[in-house]
Formats: sequence, structure tokens, C-alpha cells
Amino acid sequence: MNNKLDYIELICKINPNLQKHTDVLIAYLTDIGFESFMETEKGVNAYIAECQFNEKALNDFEKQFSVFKLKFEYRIIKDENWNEKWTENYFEPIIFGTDLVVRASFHKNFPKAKKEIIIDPKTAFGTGYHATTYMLLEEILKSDTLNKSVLDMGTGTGILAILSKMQGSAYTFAVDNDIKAVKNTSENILINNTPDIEVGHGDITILKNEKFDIIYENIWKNTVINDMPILAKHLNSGGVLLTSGFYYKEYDEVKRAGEDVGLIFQYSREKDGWAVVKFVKE
Amino acid sequence: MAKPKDVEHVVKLQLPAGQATPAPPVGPALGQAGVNIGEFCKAFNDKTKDSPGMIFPVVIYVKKNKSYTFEIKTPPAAVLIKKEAGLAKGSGEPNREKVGTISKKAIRKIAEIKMEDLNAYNIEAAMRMIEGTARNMGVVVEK
Repeated sequence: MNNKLDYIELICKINPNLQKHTDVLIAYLTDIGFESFMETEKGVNAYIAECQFNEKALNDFEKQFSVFKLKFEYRIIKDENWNEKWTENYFEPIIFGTDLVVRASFHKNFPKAKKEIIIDPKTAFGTGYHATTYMLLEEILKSDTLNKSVLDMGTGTGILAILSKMQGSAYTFAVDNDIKAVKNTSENILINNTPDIEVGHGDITILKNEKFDIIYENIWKNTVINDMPILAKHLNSGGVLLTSGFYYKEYDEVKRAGEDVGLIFQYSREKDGWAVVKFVKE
Repeated sequence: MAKPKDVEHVVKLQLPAGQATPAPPVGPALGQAGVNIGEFCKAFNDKTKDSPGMIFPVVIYVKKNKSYTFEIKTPPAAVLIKKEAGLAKGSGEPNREKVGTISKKAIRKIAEIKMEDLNAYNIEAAMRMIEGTARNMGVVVEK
């Protein structure tokens, strides 16, 4: 399967280059499918996936447009691992005392710990750098996951599922709706020698009749709230749900959503303004 | 927000609410500046996800130590005009081809949204700026 997604970069030179012209041009370019923009010294660059690019629509637009002077040219940007530069230059090992080190395969100097997870961060979310992932790793480290079934919804790099498996979890299911994350998780599972994690591509609707002892969902507030009734349904009695991906100031909304479906709120924690909220099912 | 101190890169993007991904322009622009792309996307999406379909300008200030802050601005006036006037598209020839109308009430609503980002003395001045943008798009402002 080819998951490469090349992009078109449309370079627009605006004369005169005024903010109001940039804004008008962006509104027009959204009409023909462009979705993201970068302001430049000479105007604006617009971006669209190559498979969605309609050259005729652009040519028609260019011929008709007379609001201000405009010059276009475009080029193809090949798909690549955009996080690579950050990863290689700025990604440092993440240390959880003597319990765990999360590092990339290229790291040479790092302290020894009881467990070591190798994550080569690509474009998927979940290196442990972000406060939400960090706090969930802390939660897992202090949990008993031995022989417990685990669901990691919105797995990103697979890091939470991998740590659970290293701590002896039984059936472990890592799910993401982003195909790149699914691929990245599969790679990380092999690198970390935790092969019996099942990986699924989809959202919460991928679940059938399975029930889990532990569920993690680190996506964002609205998704967590919307998913809450289904998460509760798929949790065994006495099971634990750990949620994150939202700000601490918003945790009350998630707490209410959990309580509304019968879950028992245990506690919330905060790091860098982000929250983790723990529930149990009676 | 004033520009923070020790800023090495300033990146100005306009991105769909709740839909920032590491694809261009975010990936190349922020990767080059040393910003953790995944983290930025998550934070941007989290702050904008309640306005689906809208485009938000965002200015990212990257410091020498690669820490960063970002400021999300109000959506472009032209995008708000399209939405308020219910337009599928703007006019390529606004002097000749009129593509729709917009009420004064809608102009005021947009001016109020944009006020914090416009260099306008009062709401009437902001409304005149919005009306100018509407005319530029071939949208007639109702009297």
C-alpha cells in the first residue's frame, strides 16, 4: 500500500502585499480546495494534497481574478518525515527516575533504567515529550497491568500499549484513525520486542464485543467526552479508564461525562496545564 | 500579544480549525525552525476544534532554545464574509460581477469579532474596513 501523500505548494506573489489582500486571496483559494497557508514576504503560499489538486480550476481562477495583481507558480513537495529534523536535533531521552527511559534509536548517552522504550518519533503523536503522554506513562508505571487486558485508543506511536505489554499485560489492542500512526505503532512494537500487541486502524467504532481491564484514551476533550459511553461499555467491572489530551482547566467537563455514564472519578493530575483523569467502573 | 524576547523564527500560518497535521506547510516550516511538530498540531487543534470549517491565522514565535509560543488570531475577514453572506465563492471581477449581499448587522458582527486584530479606532472604523473587504470580493453591502 502506498501511503505517500505529496503536496502542491502554490507560491502567490501579491502586489501590493497587504494583509487584506492576503486574507481575500486565502478566502478565494479555499474555494478551489486549498486548505492551509503560509504568509511570506511576497504574499502567501497555499497547500493542497496533490491528489486533490485541480489544475484547471486554478487556471480558470487565475484568468478571472482581477481584485489585485497576482502571480502564481507551483511545485510539488514530496512526502517525508517532517518531524525528522526536530527528532534528530532536539529529541532528548525522557527519564522516569530509574523505572523507565524513553529514547530514540540514535541516542548514545542515556541513563540505565529498569525498562527502556525505543521510539523513533515520526509524525505520530506520543514520544513522552508532551505532558499528556508523560503523565500517562507515569500512571502506567505505578499500575498493575500484569495479565490485564488493555485498550489504547488513539495510540499515536504505540508507547502506552508498549509499556503496558512490558509490564505483562494480556490482550493489548492499540488503535488509531491515522494510517501513519498505525504504521508507526507497528514498527515500534517490533523495535521494542512486544509483538503480541494487536494494532487496529479506525476510531472507537472499531470495537465489537471486547471488554478491557484498562483503557487509555489520550486524544482531545471532545473526542474523550463523545467516546465516554462506549469506553464505559467496553470496560470490565473494576476496570480503570485513564483519559488525557485536554487542559486541566477543562477536566471538570470530562469528569462529568464519566460520571454521567456511571464511572467513578478517582482523581485528576496536572502537568504544564494539561490533565490526566482516572476513573474506575464498579 | 507582544513578540516574546530572544525570538529566532517567526512563522505565520493560516490553518483549518482542529485539522493541523504535520503535512506542509506545518511540517516543513516548523521542522526547520526546530519545533516539535506533533505537539504544536495537538495544541493548535485543541484550541480551535470548536470552530469546524473555519481558518485561523496563527503566529508561532520560536526562541533560540527551540521553545516556542503561539498566538491564534481571529479568522480572516474575507473568510467570515463568505460565511456570513452564505457565498460559495467570491467574485474574481468584483467591479463587474456581484456574487451576493451582506447586511449591516453581519458587517458589525464580523467587525466585533475582528476588532482585537484590526488597527481600528472604534467599531464604526472597523466596520468600514470590513465593508471594503466585502466590496473587494464582489459582495454588496446592504444600506
